[in-house]
Amino acid sequence: MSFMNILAHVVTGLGALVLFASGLGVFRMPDVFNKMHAGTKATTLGSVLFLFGLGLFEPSWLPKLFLIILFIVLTNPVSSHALARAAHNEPSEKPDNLIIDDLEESKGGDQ
Amino acid sequence: MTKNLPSIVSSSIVLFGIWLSLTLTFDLQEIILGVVVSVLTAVAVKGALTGNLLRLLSPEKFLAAVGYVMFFLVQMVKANIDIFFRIFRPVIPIRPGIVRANITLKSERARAIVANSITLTPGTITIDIIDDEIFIHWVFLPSGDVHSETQAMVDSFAGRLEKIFE
Repeated sequence: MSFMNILAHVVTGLGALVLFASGLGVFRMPDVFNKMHAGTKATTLGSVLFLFGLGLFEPSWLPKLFLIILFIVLTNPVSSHALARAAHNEPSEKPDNLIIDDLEESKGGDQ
Repeated sequence: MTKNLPSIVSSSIVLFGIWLSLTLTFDLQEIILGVVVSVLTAVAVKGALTGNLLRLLSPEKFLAAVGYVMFFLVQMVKANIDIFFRIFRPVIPIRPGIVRANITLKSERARAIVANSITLTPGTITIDIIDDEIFIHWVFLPSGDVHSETQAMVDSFAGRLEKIFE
């Protein structure tokens, strides 16, 4: 087993661990916005680590994997913004544990 | 057309880079086809894919861009360590709240980058941008004055980007 191979196993395993934490976070967090924290940040780094680990197994795949990583990093936060905005516009989804909510105030001012 | 030329050139270069990493061949025929397709696509979208990247060629802007990427990667790893140790606690420590901050950047592209970066950094996600105000959800509100803390966090990204985009 070469050094590269061991490193690839470590990085891929780390990515899987982060993805597991993300899934657990979505399950455990109490409300929609906090679920989003786990679902966005951890899936991004998890996927990046996992794909990079795959690239270490097969170095000839690295350019394509790098493209996938780039698209994930660029698009994952955008989907999270869309979901968060939609959740905030939907009164039945609004959590009641917010200590401060400036967005609600500024919306109230507009209408 | 001439006004868009730098944007079209930078879009063509980026598209050609994508073409090369997907085909992974240096066959002359493939490369010629790649150049033609990249330039046609870049002209069709008037370079809107990337905007003008050629101004990054000045050394200080290039260094600022590299510095921003480094800063962002460190923040992203910190965010994941933070969320990791939060999730495995028996009782998840949260103190959520949505806080407004001002964003002075004018360029739409720069604003999108700031919003995306904030989403991927510790304890914060961007919910909305209305006019010059950005609304940020904290998983654990900072102690002290939340508004000035949030403003400082936004400025740490926006200030770095200002050097690149202005």
